[in-house]
Amino acid sequence: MPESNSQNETPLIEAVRHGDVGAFQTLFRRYHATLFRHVWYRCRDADVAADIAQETFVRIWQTRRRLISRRPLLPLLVSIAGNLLRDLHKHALIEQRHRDDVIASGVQSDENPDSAAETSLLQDRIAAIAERHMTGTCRLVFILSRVDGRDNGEIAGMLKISRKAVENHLFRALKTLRKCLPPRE
Amino acid sequence: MNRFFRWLEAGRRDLPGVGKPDDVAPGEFDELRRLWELSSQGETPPQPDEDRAWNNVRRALVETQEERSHPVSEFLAKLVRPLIERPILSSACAAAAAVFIFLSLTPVTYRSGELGPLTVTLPDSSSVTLGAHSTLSWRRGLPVAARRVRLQGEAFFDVSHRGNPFIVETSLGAVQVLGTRFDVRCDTALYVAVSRGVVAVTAAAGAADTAVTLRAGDYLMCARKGVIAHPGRSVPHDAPVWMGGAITVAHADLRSVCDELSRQLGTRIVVAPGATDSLHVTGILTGRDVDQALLVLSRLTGTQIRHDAHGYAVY
Repeated sequence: MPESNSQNETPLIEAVRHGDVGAFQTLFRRYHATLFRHVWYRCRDADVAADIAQETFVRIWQTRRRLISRRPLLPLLVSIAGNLLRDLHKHALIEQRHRDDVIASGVQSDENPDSAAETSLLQDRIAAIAERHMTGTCRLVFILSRVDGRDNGEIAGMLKISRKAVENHLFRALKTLRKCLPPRE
Repeated sequence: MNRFFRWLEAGRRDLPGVGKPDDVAPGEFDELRRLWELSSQGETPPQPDEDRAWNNVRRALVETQEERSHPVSEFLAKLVRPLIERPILSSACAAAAAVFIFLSLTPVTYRSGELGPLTVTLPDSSSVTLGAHSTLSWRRGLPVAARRVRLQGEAFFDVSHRGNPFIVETSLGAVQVLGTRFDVRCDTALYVAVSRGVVAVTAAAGAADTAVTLRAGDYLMCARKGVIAHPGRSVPHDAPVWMGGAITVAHADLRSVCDELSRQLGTRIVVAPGATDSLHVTGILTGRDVDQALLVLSRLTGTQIRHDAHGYAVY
């Protein structure tokens, strides 16, 4: 798993601001896979996720002089990627797999939720809820935890927030899921 | 909430010391745990080709032109960015700015005391020699449009020519010069004498267009605010008597002359009780010290001088 200690990235970001391609590559290697998985989870298209992740890093380089070295880089990457994803949605260049009808379609309470088909549908619904009903940081923390598989302490270090703040976001995400999904009986 | 995650990490409901979370409703607990486990069981995302991705990004870096920025905004950004990134630096800059403003507003004051002449050099290289018991004030950080000083007592100015006016402000009037040598005294009256150059004297209550122009060898008295006597001519000397030069008196009473000498030389010189103070003096008083000046006075008036612990008495 790539290094996630955000305190080490401050000198790297400072070097990138001054045009250090080597430092930029180090940051790329550190965050590209995480960013790719994040974007993939939101659009479920590998080619789109790859293009957006690459374009995000290019945008970072283009505006490197405006980087603030003491701020974590990952939230900025996710923010830029989210904007690019929304631009694609507006132009309907990708198939919207997280429409409201996906969220609205329910799993019949008397059906076996352990079946593979129902589980897959439920996964799609969870992803749609995360895209539509979670705020930016909450969604980022949720995806880092449930999709990227990082523990709460690791996420806290990456985003320069407290462990308690991470748990707050995750708890809020679970509450959102429970609110949008019918309970199993 | 924290206990919820502690419980999840513990893996059991009733682990000793880690009970059910208080902030989760009984019916909600199992549902949240189910969603927690379910949300991580989704479709595994594909592994990205990082080398290919980096090559694409690297190619784009070469092709991408750097964004243009206005040189002024870039300069300002370079100034402001360190303050944003380092709060301690911004606090230090704020403190330094406060000190600079304080120093700019705080006047610099020179006082000569009883010992007589005190020569100071101003930031514009002008030289000012203060007479006894005189005070000169000026402010740091003033705009270069005008150089201003405040005088109480007497001072001889040798003003450097800088192209902008040099203004001496007193309680009775103001003297404006460009570059010259002149003497200003202000106590009960304003006295200005010019050794070299040109000065303009304005009474305190007078308008700018009522200024009187003095040239080398001219002097004037301003007894009251707004009242300037006609300029008089004196024997041109390079400096007043208290700087080692000379002073010309014309039919001045003895008491006034003694008062003038007392002030300029920083020594008590009085007309002795019983002595005639109606005697008038006409002549040039020269000398660099009290004894020489009083010797001249004695010769001009036929008086005697007595020295005691308190000063000098003329009788």
